[in-house]
Amino acid sequence: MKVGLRQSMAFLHTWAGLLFGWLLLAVFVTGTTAYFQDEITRWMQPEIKGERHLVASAEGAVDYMRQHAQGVETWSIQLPGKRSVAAMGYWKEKGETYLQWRDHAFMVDGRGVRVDARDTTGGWLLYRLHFDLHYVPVLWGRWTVGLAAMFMLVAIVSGVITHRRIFADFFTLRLGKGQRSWLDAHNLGAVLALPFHVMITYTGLVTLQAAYMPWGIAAAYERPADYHRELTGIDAPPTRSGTFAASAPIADMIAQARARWNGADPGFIAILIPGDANSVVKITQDTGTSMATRGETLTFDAATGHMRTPPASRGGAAMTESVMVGLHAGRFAPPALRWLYFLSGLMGSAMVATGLVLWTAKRRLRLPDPTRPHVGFRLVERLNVATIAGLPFGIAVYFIANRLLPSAMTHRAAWEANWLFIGWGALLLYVFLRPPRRVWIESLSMVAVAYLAVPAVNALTTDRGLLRSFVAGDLVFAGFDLSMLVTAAGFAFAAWKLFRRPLARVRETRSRRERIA
Amino acid sequence: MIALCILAALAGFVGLSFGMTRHQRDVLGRTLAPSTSLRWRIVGWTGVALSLVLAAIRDGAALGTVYWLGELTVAALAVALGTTWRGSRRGASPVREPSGER
Amino acid sequence: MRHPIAPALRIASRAFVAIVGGYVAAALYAATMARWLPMPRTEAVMIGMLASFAIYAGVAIMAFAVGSATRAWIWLAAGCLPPALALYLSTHGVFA
Repeated sequence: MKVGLRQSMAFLHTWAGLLFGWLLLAVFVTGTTAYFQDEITRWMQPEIKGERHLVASAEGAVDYMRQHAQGVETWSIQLPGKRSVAAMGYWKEKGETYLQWRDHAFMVDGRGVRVDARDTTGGWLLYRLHFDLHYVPVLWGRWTVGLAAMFMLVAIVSGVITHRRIFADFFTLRLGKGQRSWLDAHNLGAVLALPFHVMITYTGLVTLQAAYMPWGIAAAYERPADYHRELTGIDAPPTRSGTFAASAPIADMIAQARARWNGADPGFIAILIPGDANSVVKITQDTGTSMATRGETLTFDAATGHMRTPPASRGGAAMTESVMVGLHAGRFAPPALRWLYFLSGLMGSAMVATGLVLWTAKRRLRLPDPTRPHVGFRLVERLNVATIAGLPFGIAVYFIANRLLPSAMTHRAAWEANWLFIGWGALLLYVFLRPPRRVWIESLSMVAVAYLAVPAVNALTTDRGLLRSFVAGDLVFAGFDLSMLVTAAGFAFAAWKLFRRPLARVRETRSRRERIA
Repeated sequence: MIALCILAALAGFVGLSFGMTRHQRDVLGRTLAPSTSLRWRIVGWTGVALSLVLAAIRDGAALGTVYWLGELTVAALAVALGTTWRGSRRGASPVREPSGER
Repeated sequence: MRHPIAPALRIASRAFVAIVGGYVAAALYAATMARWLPMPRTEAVMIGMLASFAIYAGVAIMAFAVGSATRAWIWLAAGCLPPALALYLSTHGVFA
């Protein structure tokens, strides 16, 4: 039997999409939230107030570590970007790995004063979920997400080949026609943001390409480290001299860096073997200051504050990679563009979600006995609800846990993350225990209620509720609470639409089913 | 300026949708003459091109293009929802062909 | 060839070409570019990596687009041969 190209591509599209659909939805949703990672983190640390002052917070962090962390291997400072207020400092003691950095992390506000903010992973958790997953070793998570991204790329290409009338159907959304409506919605989500989808999938693979496709490095270099050194122009770490030397003021070094970058801010400072005469300060440009995200790293001798010869400028291919990664993360994006990114991310999420629903909508009519579908169908149907409603539900629970867990709790940040998965798991369990007929309406309603609860709990537990934020002109807090309300409204609308689904439609579906049977 | 860009793209997509018989039927309730449709399509492409030019003038070629693609998505989504809403008010047009099998 | 298992096997065979074969082809081209492109090493390595995902996707599409599973294997082998040869020549000191 000879099959046409379109049919074979449709087959590929359907199954490549379904196999990784649920994971891809999670990747799209968490990735979309990551465009507001800094704002989410700010909301999750309501103790941090005031204005951003980059140099003061850097000095405050260095002072704090000078008092509390002498003789360690590294001091690191994550400086506040344009959308943040506080710097985060942390140090690494001898024999520790970089994964343990949370053990010695602290926040410094714009006055240079350490703030006792609640322990949270903030928006960073959702960002990390986007490519590392959770509860699994980072390497496994990245390879799984990478494979999913590869399937996504194949699904995009095969989907475009399958879609017969991209231009004829460009603005078409026929509602109330069952399978046809889901196909229209799926096509709209895909086609209207197609450049974004292609860009985000390919550049997503590029962000971790050295892990996914290391064979070029292996073919051209003795050791992978040689390649990275040659690429970044960063020299070997300093060795200890054993003699003490006071460090030159960090503000001077920041000023030198800014002068070299035409005023662009630094984003990260690492001070290696602080206090030693051989100590070195590394200042990296803020990833949000340019579309090319791999900012230059400058090296200073800590004792003198003298800048070493900067690394040679990057070649064309390295620059391309830097811009691709920058386009993916969108850190350079000003507010308006950030919202466009966010919208495109939502379109991607909608594309995956409607694609998953389409799989069941298409097969429901052809079931031999619709009251007792086969196991595969039931599994897909339930997993769809459990993911499309479950993950947003878990995220809402995460936000609520941030406000309700006691601030003195041990492993507090880890428990916040656990609550995300407790919430998601609870909804999953619910979905699998309830009869399928009502489960969509009930789950979507639960998500709506959870998002409604977020600003309410915020207003009750902090002094930064929606009304006060509005009066104070606090765009980040007011914007977050409003986004929660809009999300709640969106899920409530979906639930209401399903609830009000005219009986005629149900009857029509039933009669069509009978005709087919 | 961003609003102006989106407006140009919006005008462009409205033009393009008016150049398509399905949307003529949904929105106007009748189909237009081929020459009129063609004129709408020319208006449409002009609007889309204009929005790119505006974005490039505002933010330069690189950043402007990134903005433009996002603005196109917003505008196209608005037109799609608009025609759907108009179509459902008029009573949706019958599906011409049997549903495309996937 | 009218065995009920056969269609599933043919799909599995194509999927193998797509998933494993696609990765092998992409890796071969990435490695070959890293050694052969006439430019600084870091740049050649980078171009190889950047292009590899397009090659991977291309092979995956090919595996399902061609007429039969056997043809998918033939095309995969034909596509892999040039970079494999070039890589062999350069690593064994024949050229470059």
